[in-house]
Amino acid sequence: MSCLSVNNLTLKIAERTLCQSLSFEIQTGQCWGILGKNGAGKTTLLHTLAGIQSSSTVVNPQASIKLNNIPTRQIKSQARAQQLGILLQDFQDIFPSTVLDTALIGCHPHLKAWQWPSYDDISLVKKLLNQMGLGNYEQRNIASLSGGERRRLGLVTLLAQQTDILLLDEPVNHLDIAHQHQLLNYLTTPLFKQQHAIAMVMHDINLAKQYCDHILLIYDDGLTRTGKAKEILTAENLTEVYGYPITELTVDKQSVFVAK
Amino acid sequence: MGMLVIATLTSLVTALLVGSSSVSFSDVLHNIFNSQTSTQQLIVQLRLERALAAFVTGGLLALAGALMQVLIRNPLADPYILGISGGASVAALLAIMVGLPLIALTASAFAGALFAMLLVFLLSRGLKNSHWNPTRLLLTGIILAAGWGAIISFILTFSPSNRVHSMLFWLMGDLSYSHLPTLGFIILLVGLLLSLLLARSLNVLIRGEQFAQSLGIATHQLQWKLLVLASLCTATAVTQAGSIGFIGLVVPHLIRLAGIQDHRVLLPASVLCGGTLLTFADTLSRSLFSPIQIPVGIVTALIGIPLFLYLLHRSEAHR
Repeated sequence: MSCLSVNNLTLKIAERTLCQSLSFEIQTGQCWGILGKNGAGKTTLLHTLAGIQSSSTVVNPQASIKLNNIPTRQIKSQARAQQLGILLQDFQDIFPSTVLDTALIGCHPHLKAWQWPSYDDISLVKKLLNQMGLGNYEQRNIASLSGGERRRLGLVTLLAQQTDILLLDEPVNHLDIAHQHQLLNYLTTPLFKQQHAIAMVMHDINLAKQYCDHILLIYDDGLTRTGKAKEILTAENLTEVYGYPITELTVDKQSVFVAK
Repeated sequence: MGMLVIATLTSLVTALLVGSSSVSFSDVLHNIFNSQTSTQQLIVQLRLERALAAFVTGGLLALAGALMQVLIRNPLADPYILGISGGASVAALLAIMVGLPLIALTASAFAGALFAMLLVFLLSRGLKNSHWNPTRLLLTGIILAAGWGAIISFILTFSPSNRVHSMLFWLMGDLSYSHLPTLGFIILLVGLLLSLLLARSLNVLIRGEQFAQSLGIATHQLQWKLLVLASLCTATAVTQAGSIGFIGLVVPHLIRLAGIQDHRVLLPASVLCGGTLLTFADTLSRSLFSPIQIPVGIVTALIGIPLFLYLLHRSEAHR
């Protein structure tokens, strides 16, 4: 059982408050969706939780972020990377590399300085590449991949890290509708959820409603709202958070949110 | 890797055999393992020292280039991009202008390189003592390099014409003054060993700073170590032989184009390849138009450009 707990966190960038006294806890078996306007601070929050430093972000000193009940400041970065992984919005491809080699970088936190990935690591990564539909691309140069393929390679790299806590920044960005559901289905199968605590930044409200059981809404003024998806995802809350009229319709006995 | 070791040995032996006066292979063996003095032995001795100096300089430049490209995360980075060679050049030219002896010229160049290094470190950190980022470092370095360039032109303009010739040789890179590179060799060896300790983290850092942090790498510390290592290697190489172009930029790419991406292999391979390339180039530079010696920087460019274009073309055809 793993958990990432946040208590009384206030984030600021250049005197602008992104979130004010935020407290919530992500536990194994839960899938959190983080929703808010562009620039609301979703990515900054995710980076702060993952221990990625930024000189412009100011974290209040009273805040406590705990990974399995230990304050993250006290955890060595390599040990942290063995428990918590993040899917960033993109990775760099200036220097050439194959798809397989790039995915194997995910094993980094588990290896010693002179260790090469083991046979097990390689077969795990190959299996993941197959599951994400990249099985035939192992030797392709990463610069030749499409946006959606890069996204799936990023996810494979994250899964190769084998962490219990997964933070994902817009995981379905660039993916077509089939791949969006394929990927989210993979992350939310009961077997996978039993072993992982997940939080993902989402822009598609209906995908969040379908796949997330908990929601964190970040408002423009830094206020936040957390709770069960069913209670938080209402037309009224969403209208307020996005500053745009949103209504709920029922289609084929399913409710969907649409912009008015 | 095995091929590179063979190429290295070949380049060193060739350097001993080829030159304005001919020496046979058996003479070389005979002279290396005998202690009696003869003209031939003197020639072998001189050529050996120079070949080793070329190898060490080439290795240092290639290592510095490979590290700098990861640090700035830009394939166009070379060891001179931060103006370290500029500082060395200004100090060396001043020494030539005043007419200082060789040893003082060397010391002066090294001091100049270290000064330029410190200047980049301090200025790129900014006023608030914040951590620099690669873009800021690159811009600071390029601007300083431009400044050094202006001072170099100034010195050339005001120098007596009999001195300008040796100044130009120094600027283009020249190994003819080189002696046994003991210090350079130690710095190359230590630099390579230290950078090998960082090598696996470099594989992660080239995919992005935040990505590396998310995988548990302390990127700020890593970047400082890279900067110091690359700068020291550059300073040593420039002091030994002036600013020889091309090796630091091209050699790491040659290794990458040969399909080696893992820095645990790429760094030692770059050292061997850079050393070999410069040893061959130096042998050519003193034998092509012998007895006239041309600056080795010209030859590195003449070998490097077609080799690089060929590999680039081949790698695109395979994609």
